[in-house]
Amino acid sequence: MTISIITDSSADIPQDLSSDLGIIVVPCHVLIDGKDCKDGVDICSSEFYEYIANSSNLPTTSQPSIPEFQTVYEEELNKGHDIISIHVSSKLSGTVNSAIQAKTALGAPPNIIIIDSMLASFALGLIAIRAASLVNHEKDLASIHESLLDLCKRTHCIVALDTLDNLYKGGRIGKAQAFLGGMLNVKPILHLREGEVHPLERSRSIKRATNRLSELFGEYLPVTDVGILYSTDSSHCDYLSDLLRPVIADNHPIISQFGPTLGTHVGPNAIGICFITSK
Amino acid sequence: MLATLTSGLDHIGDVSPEHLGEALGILANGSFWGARGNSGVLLSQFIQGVYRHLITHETCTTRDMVDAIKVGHSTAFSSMSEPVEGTMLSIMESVSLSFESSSTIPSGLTPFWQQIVASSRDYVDDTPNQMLLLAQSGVVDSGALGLLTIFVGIWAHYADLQLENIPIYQDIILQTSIQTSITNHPIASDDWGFCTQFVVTNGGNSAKDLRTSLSSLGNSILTTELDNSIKLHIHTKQPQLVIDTALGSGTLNTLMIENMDDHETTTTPLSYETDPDKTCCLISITDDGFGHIFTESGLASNIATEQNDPTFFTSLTQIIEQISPSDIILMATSLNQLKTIQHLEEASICGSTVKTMVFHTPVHAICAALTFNPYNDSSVNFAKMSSQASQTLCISINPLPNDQLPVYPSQSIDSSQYISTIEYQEIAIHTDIAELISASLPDLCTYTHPILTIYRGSQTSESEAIELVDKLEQILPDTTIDMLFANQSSPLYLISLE
Repeated sequence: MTISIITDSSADIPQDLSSDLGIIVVPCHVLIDGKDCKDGVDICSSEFYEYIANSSNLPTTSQPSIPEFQTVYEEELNKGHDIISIHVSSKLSGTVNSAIQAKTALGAPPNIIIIDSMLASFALGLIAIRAASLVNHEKDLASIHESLLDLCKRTHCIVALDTLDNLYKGGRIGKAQAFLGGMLNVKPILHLREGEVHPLERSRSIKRATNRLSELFGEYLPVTDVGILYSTDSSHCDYLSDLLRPVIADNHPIISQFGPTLGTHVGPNAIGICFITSK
Repeated sequence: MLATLTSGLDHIGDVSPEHLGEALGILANGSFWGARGNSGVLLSQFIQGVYRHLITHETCTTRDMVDAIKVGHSTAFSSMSEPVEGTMLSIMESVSLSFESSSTIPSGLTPFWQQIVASSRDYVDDTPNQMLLLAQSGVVDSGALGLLTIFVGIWAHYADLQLENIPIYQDIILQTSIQTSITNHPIASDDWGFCTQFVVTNGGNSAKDLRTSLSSLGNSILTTELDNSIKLHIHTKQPQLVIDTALGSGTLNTLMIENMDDHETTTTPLSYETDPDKTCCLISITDDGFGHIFTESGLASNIATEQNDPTFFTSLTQIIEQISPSDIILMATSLNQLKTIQHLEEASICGSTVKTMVFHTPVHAICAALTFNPYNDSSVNFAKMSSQASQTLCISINPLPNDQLPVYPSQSIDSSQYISTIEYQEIAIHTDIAELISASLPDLCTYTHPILTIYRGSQTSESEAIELVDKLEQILPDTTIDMLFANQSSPLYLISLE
């Protein structure tokens, strides 16, 4: 039985990579000046960041609708495929809920497995990529499910932001509000913990924060999969890659850009790293 | 009273005392150290008296117990500076008197404790007639009610009764609920100040001397003694003054301060909502500018205070009550505030445990505070902040001669918080401060993305500071230079190198 891997666009998987691996990406929605755009379909990352740089209005985001999930699930079921649908943390988005509702609307077939990754952005992307690899070698839905849950627990995401303004304006500040404050040009370093964004450290410049990401990454070694994320300035990625090179050897990081879904919240000039630790 | 008794029982823990006297000794010691509040201290002293009377007893008769209660009452009575009838003291006395008027003392434990409960109950019911405030509120004294509750519990144990099946226990529950609603009413909490407790050790003074020395600073003064330690309880509006006075009698331990007042919020803590997951709160204490930098940067709640500021504890308890952390790190941002916080290490303030840190300059405190995370406990934060402070270089640009520079000492005091002071004479000779600063910097090649932050004092104009920044940017092109108005009266500039 073929297993289809489905995720949502907040996974920030580069489009060519998701196409190559056959990962189905359900687009999230970005509302810009009253216009509903599908992330990665109606608007690409560069257009999105150009928009927020020139607009005082912060776009809003929403999860894929239940019918959108339903349509995708039906298509795959009609092909005779089983489904593993892996999504952004339910503590950050209603996406998992939409997916569950869609499955229920289809009579809750047991061959649709929905996973609340408790992750976001390319940390979720790494899991979807691993899932695509797993289904090539393993055909048992339950054991793949178990493996993915284990991988989710071993996946980390640490992000340095240039500003907390976007998180604040978007109402997603959560626990990161502990680092809110305008003076001193502070760059907050945040991490995903138990599905939520937690404050980790403060740094005084984005360069220093990038260095710190590398040091923090070093505390988790050894790792198996590495991704580097940026929002607007890819030179940060190059710099971070150089810093990581001595410790990850041939394990080349995948470079990804925060898409509109997460980009709305992390804002410009953000840099992040996500990785899966070895057992 | 619960905390007091629990502490006593915790001390017994897994120990298996060989006889009654030994068990009471452990209970008395534990309740002494854990005693909280007016009633708790009285209870601990009562237990102390009972223990002293039965110290050599392997077992005891009910007659012995009556005599022990008498000693317990007199010990508790003597611990108060102004004993007031109508409180738990009356219960203790009434119990012993009730047996004196009886022809016989019951030999069995069940009838013995039943009689104690009965006579205690009579006095508890009568307490509203003995104190004006209780009469106005229509409630019994809470300490007396607490002691009755303990007696009921002991009786229930010997009689093998379930508490919920005892009518008197139901009455206690009812009284407690009335008590709670009355206590929350403004009439019962109008401007009472701070309930302050601590243990004085290694002092030469007696408990009575200590009480006398503090008598003008508050009321409800209670002292209890154990070995070379004196436990003090006082209701005061000036806890700092109480602490300072008590320091003349020995070393302070286990300081606890609770704010008993209803109050309006006058300080501004961090601009975030209370989060139950937060375990630690950072509070800076400043006396010369800089306070706004801590608050506006989101680094810490700040208390701007002078030495011996009588409002310090009011500000401190207000912040703690709003955020309700389990741990607090109190930062003295210069040596001037050392005196304010030096006896607060491990203190319990409004239920939060205090860790103190002293920084030589606000600049060190700011850099350290950057590593603070409210979701980490105080030990983790302490370690990170100490490490950061030791990696921070502060340069002080002073307009005053050496002998007028008491605030920022030279680096010789503590090498872990490095301070380089450029003083008056050098500024007079070298007019270019930028060159002076540059010359005093270590080799910046050893720093990763160095950041020089210039904190401008009140004696320096913004244009002068901007000119300095421009010059430094030319001299140090690979260094990020930030400038903030700190408003300190002296020095002209404080500069951090990170």
